[in-house]
Amino acid sequence: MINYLEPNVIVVDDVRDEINGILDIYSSKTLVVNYSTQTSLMET
Amino acid sequence: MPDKPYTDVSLIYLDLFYSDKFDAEQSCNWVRSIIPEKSFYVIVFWTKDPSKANEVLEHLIKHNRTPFLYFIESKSNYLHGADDYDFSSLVNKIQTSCSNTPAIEEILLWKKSIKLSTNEVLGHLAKQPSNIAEKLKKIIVSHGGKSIVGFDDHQKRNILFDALDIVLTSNTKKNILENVSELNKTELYDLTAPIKAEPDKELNSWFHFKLQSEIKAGLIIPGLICEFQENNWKTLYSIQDDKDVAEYINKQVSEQTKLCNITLVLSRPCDIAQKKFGKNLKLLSGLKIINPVRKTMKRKSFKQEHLNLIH
Repeated sequence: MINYLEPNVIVVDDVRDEINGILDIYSSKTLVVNYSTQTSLMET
Repeated sequence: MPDKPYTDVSLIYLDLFYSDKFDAEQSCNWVRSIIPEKSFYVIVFWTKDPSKANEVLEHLIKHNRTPFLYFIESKSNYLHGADDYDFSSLVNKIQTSCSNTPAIEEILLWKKSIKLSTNEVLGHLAKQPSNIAEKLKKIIVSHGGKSIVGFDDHQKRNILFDALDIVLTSNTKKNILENVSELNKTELYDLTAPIKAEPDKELNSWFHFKLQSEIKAGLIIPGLICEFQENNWKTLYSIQDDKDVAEYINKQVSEQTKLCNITLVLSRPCDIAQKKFGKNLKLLSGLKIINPVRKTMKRKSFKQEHLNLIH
């Protein structure tokens, strides 16, 4: 199925606290990834 | 990670993956799952060891994911207080680096105009959600003609997308909202100095042709280039007997060289759809030279009188 709401800034990281500042800047277009499970922690 | 790469990612922040042993390939694979081959993007590597970032970069280049710009950064440089981070200076740094290549601004403005126009076309088609399908069906038949009813879905989609492409390209120019920057006035658009116009094989094909692997027999669309198969068509429309053309091609003789009589369909899509062709089918005859004989310079040169033939 087509993803209608693709992000255009991606953050690949597993330490959530360290990247809050980046998420604030690109609040609505970010994908954060969990390394260990290889799944997205959040997609906003 | 996404099942298939995203279509419009412009910036990636990539924290390098350290497990027991650093694996540059794994970090590269994260990017490959997000960015399609040969796409424009900017990447920030988070690492304290630049050599590790360079290893990942080498993998990315090997896999056709060369970034437009890359930055090797340590998060600790952006610590603001004990555990608070401020990345605004990094964002400024990325912006400034992009500005160092002002020509990219023009390409990105063009991209914005395409996206804006696409949204306008989409908005117009989707004004009444209940009848989108009816509108699209009308577009398919108006553009491709009733003969396409028996085509497979993929070919019908090609007709639809081709029609939408035409609407899009007629609308993009009006959506260039920004003025040319002072820098690009003096850099990109100053064409007074001699320009090296070395041919770029890939670009050349893009600008002249849309290659399609499959074309349904009997399909007539504007821009289609066909080869004459029947002798009476060749007799009527071949340009090989034209004296100017004959002079130009008289050197095109070798065992490998072959001349094919071709024609370009010029009739408008609406005329084709309404079957206003037949005697009025607008064609432009031409020649396809397979394995042409080239001069040592490997470039074709046209005499002025031959250029005069092109109008």
